[in-house]
Amino acid sequence: MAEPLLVTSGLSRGFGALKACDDVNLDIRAGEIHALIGPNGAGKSTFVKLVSGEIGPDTGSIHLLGKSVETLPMTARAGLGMARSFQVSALAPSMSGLEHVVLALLPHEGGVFHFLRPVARERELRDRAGEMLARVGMLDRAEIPVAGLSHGERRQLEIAIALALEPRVLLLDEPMAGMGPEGSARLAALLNELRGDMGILLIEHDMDTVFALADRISVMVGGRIVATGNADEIRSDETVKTAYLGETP
Amino acid sequence: MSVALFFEQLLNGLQFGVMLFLMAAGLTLVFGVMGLINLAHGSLYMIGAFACASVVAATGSFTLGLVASFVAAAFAGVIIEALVLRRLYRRDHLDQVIVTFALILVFTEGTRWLFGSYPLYLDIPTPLQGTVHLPGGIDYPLFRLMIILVGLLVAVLLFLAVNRTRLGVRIRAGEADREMIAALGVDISKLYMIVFALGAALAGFAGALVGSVQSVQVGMGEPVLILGFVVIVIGGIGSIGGALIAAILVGITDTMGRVFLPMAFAAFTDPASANATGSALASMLIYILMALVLVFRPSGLFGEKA
Amino acid sequence: MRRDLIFTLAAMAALLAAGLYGYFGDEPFYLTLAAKAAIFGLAGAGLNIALGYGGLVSLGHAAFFGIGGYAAGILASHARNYEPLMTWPVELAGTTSAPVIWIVAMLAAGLFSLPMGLLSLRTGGVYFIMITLAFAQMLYYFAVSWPAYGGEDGLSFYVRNELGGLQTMNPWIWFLVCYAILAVVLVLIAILTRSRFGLALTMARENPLRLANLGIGPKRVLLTAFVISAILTGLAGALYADLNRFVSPAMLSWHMSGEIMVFVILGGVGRLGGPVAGACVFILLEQVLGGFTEYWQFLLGLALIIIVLMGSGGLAGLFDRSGAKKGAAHG
Repeated sequence: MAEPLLVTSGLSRGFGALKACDDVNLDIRAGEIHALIGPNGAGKSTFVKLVSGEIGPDTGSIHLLGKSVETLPMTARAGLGMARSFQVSALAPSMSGLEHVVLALLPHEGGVFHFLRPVARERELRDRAGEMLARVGMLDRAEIPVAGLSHGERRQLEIAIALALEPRVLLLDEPMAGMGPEGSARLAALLNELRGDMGILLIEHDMDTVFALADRISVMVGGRIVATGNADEIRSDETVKTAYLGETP
Repeated sequence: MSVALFFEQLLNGLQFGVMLFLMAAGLTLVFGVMGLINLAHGSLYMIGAFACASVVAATGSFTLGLVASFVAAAFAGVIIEALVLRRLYRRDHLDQVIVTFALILVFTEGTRWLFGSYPLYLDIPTPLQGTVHLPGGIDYPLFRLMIILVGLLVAVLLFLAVNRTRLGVRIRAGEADREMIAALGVDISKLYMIVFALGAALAGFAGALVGSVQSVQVGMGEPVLILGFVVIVIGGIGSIGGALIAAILVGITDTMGRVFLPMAFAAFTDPASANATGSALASMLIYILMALVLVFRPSGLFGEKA
Repeated sequence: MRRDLIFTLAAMAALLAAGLYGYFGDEPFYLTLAAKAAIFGLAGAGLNIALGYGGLVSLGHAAFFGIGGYAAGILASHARNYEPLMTWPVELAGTTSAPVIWIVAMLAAGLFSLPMGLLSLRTGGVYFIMITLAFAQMLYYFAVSWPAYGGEDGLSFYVRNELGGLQTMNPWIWFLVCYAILAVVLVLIAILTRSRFGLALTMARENPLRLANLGIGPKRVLLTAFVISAILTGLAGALYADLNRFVSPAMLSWHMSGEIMVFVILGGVGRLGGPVAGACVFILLEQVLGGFTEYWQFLLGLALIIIVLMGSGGLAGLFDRSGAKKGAAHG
């Protein structure tokens, strides 16, 4: 079997006395959706921040495509092929959705240090950005500044931006939160379609979606991974039942 | 270079540093607790000096003058906090900068209106005139020595107040988490006003002391304000101890540089150009120091890692 | 975008009208004021790139304004005294050619802004304000204590520098030169804000974390904006020195930094024509209020406090709202 795209070993990070992530070993393989579930405050978002480089780990290592990246800044990890959607949408209110996606395409298309050519004239870029927006069902809202988009639309835009980066590893932090049933269904279908091209880490609360989509599921409780396996294994896992699903054996 | 000259300049540097601390302490407290960058802090320094000069002229009592500097600056601080600055705590830095810059214009021109552009000079009270003999054969002005001691005393008191009193606990809690102390039932607007008045009073007091050794004039606060910022950048925001050490470092570096750099250059060039080069370099010395600190410790010597 | 353009054209038209009034009314004083407004507008337009488009609150732009001014003053004074600027390792003479001076001014401002920006951007936030302020002050003290170019007294030169065969000493010609440069720069800025870099700069201001996540370092983008901003303010400084035929440390003082920022605030932060409108209003206030009292900055301070506390977004903001009201009345 091929080397996983992303491997964390012994990854830990504390905030004061609280161990938000405690010795986390997790990997994401090419072509899989790996779901990370757990109760609120389990440390899932901290894990995403550690992996993406927003914060640094206390101990442990992160390998992306075989390269050790735990000391690299966020931009370098993004350059190696890691994309992330934010739990709380991280967008520029005055920019349109199309502009966001165009910006995301630029690192692969000659960079941002071009000063004298209006983006409005870069037809090819705009067309490609339009395609990304169409995939998430946002094409008709492409020109509206983000400040005028609904919460669900911003979530969709987050995905379009992540797609534009053509990532090898995609970290999705609760992408469906606040999206509505129609949007969630479309996103689920899209993730299913994307699965072949990249490895996806999916943090999600909706268990039906998780069990339907995920190839593997890891369960995080109190900063630790308590179980990893496919849907059936997780359903029947005793530790998970006690710790997370709230059932007493 | 004689040893006596060296120690004399060292003391001058210490005196300058201690005064800078009184400025920087208020700036860093106000920034730490309220998140406000207050350019008008230098105006409070000036107000203290003018209050002292006016009261000394009217009553002849230097002690009353010092008290007046403290009270007037605190009073001015409370007024601008309540009328203007209170509305800025939740605004961005740009609004804070521009409004406090506008306050400087108001205070500077207002003072010029009232007192004119000519500097005022304060007479040091007779018992504090003269010099003291220090070990090592140094004659040092008594008044400057007093300033050092008073400044250090205030520093110690402030340190104790922030670290050992209930008010201090609240101030530190406010620095850590603004919403949290409101949730704990502390009257936040009262706390802000106290912190602001305290910072203002320290600045006004420093203005009066420095005004009595130099002169009292319009615009005297701004150069000190900028040095206060340099101190904060070097010491690290929100750290009283860091501000003290950085202030003394800046005070000594600046004073020693101005005296000894021209002398050092004179050793290998002709006196005129040595003096020019030495003074020019000396005037930039503390900024170079700041640049070095930024290169090696971007959050300041005692600042928390960003 | 369209409102921004209309506002900019309106501000530029008003400035041109002031110039025309001076020319046809034979009032050279008004022409000088109009040229000064154009130059201040240019300095503000430079700052606006950092402040308005990049969100960088720089309180150190007087440094670039003064560097531009001293570049003009030093080159011209060497040329007029027939003293070479330096003799080693190569001999360099001064010059009175305005285009050469402008280029040197822009280069010098840009070069100084690079380390200043690098250091100030290391921690960002409120540190940025203090550090830009401090470095500008360093330059100010250097200019005061360095005797070669007049020290505290500044440096005078008696004739404006040469531009082709133009009569630069003619106030009307000089106004047109400044106005044309301002117009060209505004066009360039309009293009810049619509370019790839403009997109990245907007994101660096509004959401630097996201920009980093796209693989684009926000600090590189902001530093570039800071340097461009410094270059334009440096050019304004060279023009200002030529306008007055005098440079002094006052151009480097932190008060100047504050004033350049006031032009931007009065006109509208992050608006193309904002600094021009702001500079015009500033000079108008200086003339009108200054006629009543020599302490006119007292009143300016009060006005600024009220404007910012009301959160009006400067003249451009007023313009938008008046347009919105009309639109509502029609619709």
